Amino acid sequence: MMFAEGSVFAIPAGDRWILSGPLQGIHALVNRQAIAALAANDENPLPSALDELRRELRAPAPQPEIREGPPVPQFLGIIPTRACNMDCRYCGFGAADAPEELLDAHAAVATVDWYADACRDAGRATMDVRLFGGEPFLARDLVEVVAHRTRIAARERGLAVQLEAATNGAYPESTARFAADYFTTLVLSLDGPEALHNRHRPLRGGHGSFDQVMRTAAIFRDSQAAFCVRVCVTNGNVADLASIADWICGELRPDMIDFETLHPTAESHLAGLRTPDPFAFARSYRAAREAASRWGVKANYAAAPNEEPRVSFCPVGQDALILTPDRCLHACYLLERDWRAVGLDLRLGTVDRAGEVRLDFAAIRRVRQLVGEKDGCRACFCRYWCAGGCHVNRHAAGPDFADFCVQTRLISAAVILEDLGEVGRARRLLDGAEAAGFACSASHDIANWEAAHA
Amino acid sequence: MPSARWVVERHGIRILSDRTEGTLLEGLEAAAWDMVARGDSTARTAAKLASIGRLAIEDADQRLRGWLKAWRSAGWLPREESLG
Repeated sequence: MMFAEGSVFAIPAGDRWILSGPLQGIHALVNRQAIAALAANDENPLPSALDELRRELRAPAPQPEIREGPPVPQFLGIIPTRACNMDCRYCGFGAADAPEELLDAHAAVATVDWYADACRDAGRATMDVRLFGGEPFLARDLVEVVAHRTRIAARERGLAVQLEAATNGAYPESTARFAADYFTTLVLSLDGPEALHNRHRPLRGGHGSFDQVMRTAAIFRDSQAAFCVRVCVTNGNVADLASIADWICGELRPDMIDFETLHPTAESHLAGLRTPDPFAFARSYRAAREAASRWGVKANYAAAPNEEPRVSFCPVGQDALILTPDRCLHACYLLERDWRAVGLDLRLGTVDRAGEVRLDFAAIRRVRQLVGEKDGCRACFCRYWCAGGCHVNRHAAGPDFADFCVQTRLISAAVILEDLGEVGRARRLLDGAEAAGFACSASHDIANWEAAHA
Repeated sequence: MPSARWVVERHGIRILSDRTEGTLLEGLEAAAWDMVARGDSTARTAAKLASIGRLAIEDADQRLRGWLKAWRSAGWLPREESLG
C-alpha cells in the first residue's frame, strides 16, 4: 500500500522535518532519512516507531468531500440589517453607506421555520442560527423575534438550539443583557486596550466605543454563553498581540480570542491601516497564543490546524444559507457587490413575499463545486484546514493572496511543532531567515518524494 | 416591572418561588413575559408576538391581555402595572 497523493506531507523545519498526515490528524518530527525511508515504495521493515507511523499514515481516513444530494444548511445566517452605529476604520461591510433597511420579520420567521423542518428531516440534533451585520442588535426587535421563534421552532421539533451573534457591543446595557440571556455564543469585536480600540473602532461621530463595549463584554463574560473576543490585526497593532491577549484574558477571561488580519478596504486605506506583514503576524500570533494559554484561554486563527479536515474555510460550499435584509439567501455574508466584483455568484435563493423559501438548486451545485477549484492548494500541507481561505478575497487579491498563504503556513507549522512539544523550534522557525526560507519552500508530498528527490 | 424573580432557561422562562421549584412559562407565553418584564409596551409586545407566532395582531393582543391578567392574578406583576 502506498501513500495517497496529497495526503501526507513533509515540511522542512530547521534540521528536521515535520511529517504531517492531516486526514489522520497525525504529525511527527523526523529526520530526512526517516522521510526517505517512509516514502520508499516498498514494505521493507523499519524501526518499530517508524513502522508504526507508516502504518498509521497509510490507514484509510475519511476525506472531506464536496457536498452532494439535497441541501441541508450547515447553519442559517441572518443579517437583520447592514447598518451599523460604529465607524470602524477598516470596515469591509460597507456600513458607512449601508441603507437603514431592516429584514422583514415575516421573512425571518418563515426562514427559521423552513430551516427547523430541514434540520428535523435530515436527522440533525441542533438548529444552528447565526446573526451577522452591520450590527445585528441595532434591529433589536427583529433579533428578539428571531431568538424567540428559533427556540419555539426547535422545541416543537425536539431540537436543541445553537444561537450565535457577531456583534460590536456598542449598545445599552439592556440589549447586552438580552443577548447574554438568549445567545449560546457571542463573538464580540474588541481590538485591545482603550486607546487602540478607540483608534480602530470609533462610534459614528468619532467618540470612542471602548467604555460601552467593555460594559457589554463584562455582561457576556458573566453569562452562560460561550464568549469569543475577535481582534482585527493591522500594521498598527501586530507587534502587540501578546500584550493584547494578556490584557483581554486578565480583564475578560473569554473562552477564545480570535485573531483575524485586516482585509484592505477603501476605508482602511484612508485611515492608513494596512494588512500586517505576514511574518510579523505569524511571530506575534504565536506569542499571543502562548500568552492566552497561560490564562487557559484558546487563541484562534481561522486558517490554522483544526480538528476536522474540511474543504471550505467558511460557509461557502457547505450549503449554509445567509438571509439578507432584501430577502435573498446567499452562501456568504460579505456584500453582494464584493463577490459580484470578482466574478462570483453566491446567491442561492430568495424568500418571497408570501414567506416561501425558494432555493436555486443549480446555484447550490455550482457553489459546492467552487470549493474544489483551488489547484494551487493541492500540494500544500495546509489544504485540509485552511482549505484555500476566503473564496471572495482569494479572487480579489490575486497574487497578493500569497501573504495569506505565508502566514497560514508559518502559523500552521508553529502550531504543529508546539503541539509536539517543540516550542523552541517553533520560535526559531518563525524568526528571521528561517521563516523566509520556509515560506518560500514548498510542502513535499510524500507520494511524490522519490521522484522529486531521485 | 414584574414583582416576581425570573430566569431564562433552555425551554422557557422560570418564574421563581421561595417555596416551590417555580413555574415554567413556555413558547409564546415565555416570549411575552420576557418582553413585558424587560419593559416593552403592550403594543410593542403584541406586534412582536404576532410576528413570532404568525398571528394576526388582534389575536396576539388578545392572548397578551389574557396572560397579563393571569400573571397579575398570580402576583407576578403588580396589579397596578400599566403597560402603554
